[in-house]
Amino acid sequence: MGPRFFLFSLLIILLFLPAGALGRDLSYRFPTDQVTAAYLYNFALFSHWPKSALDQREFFVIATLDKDFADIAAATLTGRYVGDRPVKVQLIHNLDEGDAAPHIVFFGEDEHPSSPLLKRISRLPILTVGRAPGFTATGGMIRLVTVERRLHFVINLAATKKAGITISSEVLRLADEVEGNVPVRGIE
Amino acid sequence: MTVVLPRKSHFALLLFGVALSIVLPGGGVARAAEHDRLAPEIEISALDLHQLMSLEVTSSSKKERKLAEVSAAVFVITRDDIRRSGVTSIPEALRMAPGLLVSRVDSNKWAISSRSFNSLYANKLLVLIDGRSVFNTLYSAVSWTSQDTLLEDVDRIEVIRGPAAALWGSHAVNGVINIITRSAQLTPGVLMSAGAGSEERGFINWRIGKNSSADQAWRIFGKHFLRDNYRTVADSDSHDEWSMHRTGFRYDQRIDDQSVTLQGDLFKGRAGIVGESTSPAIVADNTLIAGGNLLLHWQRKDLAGHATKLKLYYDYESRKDFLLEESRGAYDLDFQHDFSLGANTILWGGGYRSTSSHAHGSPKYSLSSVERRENIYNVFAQNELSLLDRRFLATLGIKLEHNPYTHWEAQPNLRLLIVPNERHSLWGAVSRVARTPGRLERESRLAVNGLGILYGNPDFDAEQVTAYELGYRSSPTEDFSFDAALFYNKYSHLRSFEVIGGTAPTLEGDIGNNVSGETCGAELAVNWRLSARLKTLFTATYIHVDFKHRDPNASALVRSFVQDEEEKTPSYHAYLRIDYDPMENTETGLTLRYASRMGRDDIPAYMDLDLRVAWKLQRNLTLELVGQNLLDARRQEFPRETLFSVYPAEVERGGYLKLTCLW
Repeated sequence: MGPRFFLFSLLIILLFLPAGALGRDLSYRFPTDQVTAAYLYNFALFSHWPKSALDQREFFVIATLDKDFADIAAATLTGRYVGDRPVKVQLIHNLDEGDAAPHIVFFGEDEHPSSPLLKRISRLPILTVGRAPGFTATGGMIRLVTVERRLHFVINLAATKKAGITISSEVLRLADEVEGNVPVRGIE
Repeated sequence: MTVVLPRKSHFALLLFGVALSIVLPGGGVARAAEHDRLAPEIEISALDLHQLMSLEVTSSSKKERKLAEVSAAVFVITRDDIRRSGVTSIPEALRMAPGLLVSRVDSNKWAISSRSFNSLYANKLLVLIDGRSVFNTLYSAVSWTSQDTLLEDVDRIEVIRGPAAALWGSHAVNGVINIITRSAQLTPGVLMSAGAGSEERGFINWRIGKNSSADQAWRIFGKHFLRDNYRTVADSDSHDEWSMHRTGFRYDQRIDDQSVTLQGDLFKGRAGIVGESTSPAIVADNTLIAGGNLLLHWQRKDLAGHATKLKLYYDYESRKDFLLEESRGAYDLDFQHDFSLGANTILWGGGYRSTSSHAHGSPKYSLSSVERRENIYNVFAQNELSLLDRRFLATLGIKLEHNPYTHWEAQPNLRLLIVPNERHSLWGAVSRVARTPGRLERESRLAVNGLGILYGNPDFDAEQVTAYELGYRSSPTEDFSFDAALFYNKYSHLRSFEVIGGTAPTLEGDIGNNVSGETCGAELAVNWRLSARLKTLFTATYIHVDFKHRDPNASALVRSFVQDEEEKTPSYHAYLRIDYDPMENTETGLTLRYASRMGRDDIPAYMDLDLRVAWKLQRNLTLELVGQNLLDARRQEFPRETLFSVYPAEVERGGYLKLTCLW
């Protein structure tokens, strides 16, 4: 343990102690729901839906079962357009009530990953985005994950293909691979 | 909250302002309570994905529990860590992991081990690249000179300290390093990077990738570099210049619930070596290295997340220098499957590996036969019992492995994990591992100048260890997390060097299983995000080693080998990195490394410093300036190992400039 070790220790203490005294967190954090809404809007801009009944719709519809999220998303995305269609956020309870199909369905964190709704719409041209762990493993298309306090996302390309939705490579390149990689699990 | 901003310039200005206010030690900022903070006036929906990904968000109710749920000492080196540390090779990146001993022997060789037993031929650490074992069963070691890939493709490096033989087999005595590359689906487009500097004389990396359809993607890549030689202790050229060319591909395809990956590499290069020979006594040569591999990985995952995996690969490598000319090809097949049974998750599988090698020795170093085929097969099973909504996990596993030397060896372990709440987890483990002998230990002949001849021993048996571990992980706040581990390992039947007859320099010796001993230690990793722009990583390790020869009357020479083994482990080492982004388009990083004294007086304690500055000139163009080993003009990191031929060199201060283009 030479003088350099003590110098090193001193540096660590100097670095950590005063910062600890200053308080924990000085940066601004954005509400997750607002940022999530902005993500959905970006996904909408960089995805292509198959030519089908969706094109007949007057609005670009983002549907969700989460009441709180619906309110915040509606406020966040007011006045936004996808192509020439204004964005509309819709709160739904289920999808079999003769509703016209939305473009995007967002599943909140408390939604069970193997929700029957997800299963039912997985072959329809609807982009499904969720936050629950295991969302992409059970057929969801895009899962938003929190990595070091920032929102990142994982894409399940097989699911988007099944639904006939194309996601631009700009988006793919930014995707994170987090899902399905649990350490200490033999062959990876 | 909705004052519209034109996209980029104002956003940058704003974030810069926020960063400045965080960093300037203003008392007012420090006192501001959470709800007093002014929300930046940004219209979030006007931001693009790049910008969204850089925003910090408020916490979500449920946290990622994956890492917190692991009952082993795991440290994950992320892509971010690799980029921000400015390293140009995998070994350099490993320096940040606690518990790992990483020493650069010369420009192209490293001694890397986990929890002591470090050596250029470290035999208790397994290394896998995308599941392909790169452990050389002839030397019983990993040759870091030939292991590499495009660093930009590495998704993460999982470093597991402690025994992991119950899953990975007898080479995973004190740890496993899993180097995992990204799926081709995540690397579309073209990447080019090139740079040059004083030690990094020149390098070019390239990659071309494409998502040819929604469920298939491919990439091809190349990596070419020339590294300068270092200096010897006597201040002469150390003849360790290193150049490598590597090219490879990866193809990923998904069909419903199945995925297939096919990947491969080809490499060729030369690495300078200076070492002891019989006549002349010291030789400067080049090790010529060439090789390639092809790996197929298939997996099927059902809706509950249970997977069936199959992996098949062929790996070939040849090397030639004044010591040995060797070529080796290995086929490897592994299978695993997991399923649930009530609260139990059962993982089971098996594997087969066949290696054929062809080796011509030299007067310095030879083997009893030129051709050799080795078959290793194994079966394993592990049960994970999960109770109280995964708040309590008990894992019991065992691997049975058959090798050509000691036949069947059992590698059991028991692990417990308690997660009282999402912010804390506590784990403990007991494992037993038998390290099976390598070919070199059974049937080689090594001439050691000034000493005599050392023979392999056909009766050399497996080395045994029982390991006890305890760990605690906590993230009291979202910005601060730490991971601490304690270990105690009890070894028996460790390799010893014995004198059969004669006296130096015509002594005859062989190897035995007569050393026993213990190691214990503590490891700590702390991640702390002080602000959106300032982040630190600190890791520290303490290791105590104590080995003894079984025979109290063993000669001083025999005991000196035992002592050499002890003294190659520094008692303390630590790593500190501070990442600070002063502006939106600028990253800076400072890395400090410390290691205490090694060897009797061979390697004094040292501290060293790396610095990195990166500017994003345009959206697709990044310029980096990196300084490495800045505190000393040059310094030896690892002692010379008496029995092995290689002479270490002194690591030199260096710097390089790198330009990366992505489109």
